[in-house]
Amino acid sequence: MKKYLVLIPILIVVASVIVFYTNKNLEIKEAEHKLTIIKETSHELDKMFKNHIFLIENLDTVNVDEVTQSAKELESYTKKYLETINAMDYERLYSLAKIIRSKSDALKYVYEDIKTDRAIIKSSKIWAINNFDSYIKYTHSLSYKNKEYLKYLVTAAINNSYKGLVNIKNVKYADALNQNLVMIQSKEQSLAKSFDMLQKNDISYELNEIILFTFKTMDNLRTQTDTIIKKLLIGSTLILLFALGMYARAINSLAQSRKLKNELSEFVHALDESAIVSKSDLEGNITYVNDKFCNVTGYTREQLIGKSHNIVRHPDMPEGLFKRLWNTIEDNRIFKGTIKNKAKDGSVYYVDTTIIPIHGEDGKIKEYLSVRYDVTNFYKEFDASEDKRQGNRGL
Amino acid sequence: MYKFLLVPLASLALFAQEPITPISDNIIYNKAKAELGKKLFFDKELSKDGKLSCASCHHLPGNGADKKRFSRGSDNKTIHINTPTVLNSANNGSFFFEGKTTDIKKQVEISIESPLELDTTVGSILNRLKQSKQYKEAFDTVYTRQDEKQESVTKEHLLDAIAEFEKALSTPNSKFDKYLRGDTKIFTKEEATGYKKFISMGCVNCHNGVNIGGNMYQKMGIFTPYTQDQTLNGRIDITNRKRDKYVYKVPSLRNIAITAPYMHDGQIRTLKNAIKSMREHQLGVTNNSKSIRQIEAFLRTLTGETPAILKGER
Repeated sequence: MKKYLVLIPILIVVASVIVFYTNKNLEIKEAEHKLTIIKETSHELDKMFKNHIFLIENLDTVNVDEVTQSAKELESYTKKYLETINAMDYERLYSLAKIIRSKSDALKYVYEDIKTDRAIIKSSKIWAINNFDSYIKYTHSLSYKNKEYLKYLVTAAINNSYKGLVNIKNVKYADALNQNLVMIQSKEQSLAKSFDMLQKNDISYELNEIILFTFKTMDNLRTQTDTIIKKLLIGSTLILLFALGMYARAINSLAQSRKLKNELSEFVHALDESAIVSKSDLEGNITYVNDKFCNVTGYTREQLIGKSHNIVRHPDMPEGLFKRLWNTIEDNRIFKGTIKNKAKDGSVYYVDTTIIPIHGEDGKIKEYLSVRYDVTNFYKEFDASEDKRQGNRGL
Repeated sequence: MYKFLLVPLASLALFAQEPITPISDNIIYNKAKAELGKKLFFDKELSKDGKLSCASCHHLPGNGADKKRFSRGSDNKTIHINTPTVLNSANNGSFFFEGKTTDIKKQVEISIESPLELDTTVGSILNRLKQSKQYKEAFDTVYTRQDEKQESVTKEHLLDAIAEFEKALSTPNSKFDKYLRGDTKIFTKEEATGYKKFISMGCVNCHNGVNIGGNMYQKMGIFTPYTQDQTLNGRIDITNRKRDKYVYKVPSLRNIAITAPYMHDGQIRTLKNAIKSMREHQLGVTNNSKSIRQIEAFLRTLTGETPAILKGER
């Protein structure tokens, strides 16, 4: 179970990357959709605008209903277009839309004026054409030269190459002719102004800027996400590597400690088989005994735990020895020595004893471990030969 | 001797395109919406005090306008501008003599809310319509909604229905339209000459396109001043530009023979006098009774058929 825990951070990292990516992707898709609409409608408006300008510039040769229709459509499309743009949350688009609005408003009147002025110019020119015969008819008094001059002036006025009045006296309709020539000239001036306005208020530049803006914004959006995704990937990879490292270490130390434990239990087993082992606290109370201890002393484990080691003390052992023993181990040294002990049934046994102080994590002595080897047989033989020798000597 | 002159002169009189186009005899409109619009057009609930409808000033079936010089609007107030006909108005480039809007739906809204005209609000009309089971059902059937609960009696739908009715008010197959479509024999000699003079005199420079007008603005009195009621200033009220003083929309000449009185201020009663006045003020042409007669004969060919949506009405 524990080893699956390491999967949790991995899953969290993967899940958050996926969630973030999906969210960001949706966000971008939405923004892209909006920008695409703006791009397409800008293209469409530009097309409509250019078409209308073409129609207005060629009023004399195009279908007038087409011009009327185009003007209506351009106006309503521009209105809707500007509403769409203003609904978007981009400062730059807003300021461009403002310019387009003011230019379009100005142009609406320019289109009208061009139509109006063109019609008057046309009418005036037609008037001049229609009445030209009359000039000739009613001006018998004019010399041939003057008649030719008059023709020249009228033609020039009609072709917009003469600016001025026809100043010939005694010509019937002269006033009316002059009125028409003045009309042609002033309306031509007004037309020139209108065409100037057409150029000044060309919205193609702003539309182009808007289209460029949509491209740039989409690009920015993509790079921005790319960077975020890149950072996220690097970050998550690092987190994953770290988690894996920790996992590997944990697994490694687990294996090592298991191996140590195994080795240790082998040692303990060997020790238990060969030696009498006990542990005591700092006061000398028994905290642990192995089976061999119980066998040799004849006590059960329950009888021993919590008791002092004095329980197996033999009265033959001198007080000084124990003093030396305690001094040694309390001084953090290992005590070695052969001790005569007394079992439960009063029998005597000798043990070759090693007492080792065991340290806690704080470095202080925690308990004492005693390892003993039964050397009773050896001592009994020794005692017997000693008795014999003393007996012999006594003899 | 005049040959060098004639070349540029002749080219001027020529149009690359026919300056006038016939009305389509197959106009496209949504019949259900137009029928609903028709009902609204005749409904006096659309005014402040329940005394007026659109049809009070725009007589249908009939000339789509008022025979009187000035119509009476809300509270019996006089509207000091001659009621233009609604017939064929959808084909005009803009609406009202001053060109208040180019959007037909906006035109409906302006007429409803003008204190001189129906003098009410779209909102109060909607409230009244919502009370009517009949209207609610009609709106529900005509306008598809996303779900049942969505309101169908809306401003957008109200204006749309009336606008759709206006689109249906086209008068096709006039004698002139038949002539334009190739039946040239249908015209008498006088009418044919009248059409030629209509072009050659310059009338057609402003009165052109499918509606023979309605697509541009001109000053009343270009060559000689036109005396009119001084309360009317014209398009300057909309544009605030000096040059638009006394400027009005060039009206359509379709059905002109039946839409007397004439001019924006309705001060001319007969078609003959209207032609005379236009020639004098707008073209600076000395009047010639023969030409006027011929042009009048031509203008009388511009009366079209009653719109299909009005057939069967008395």
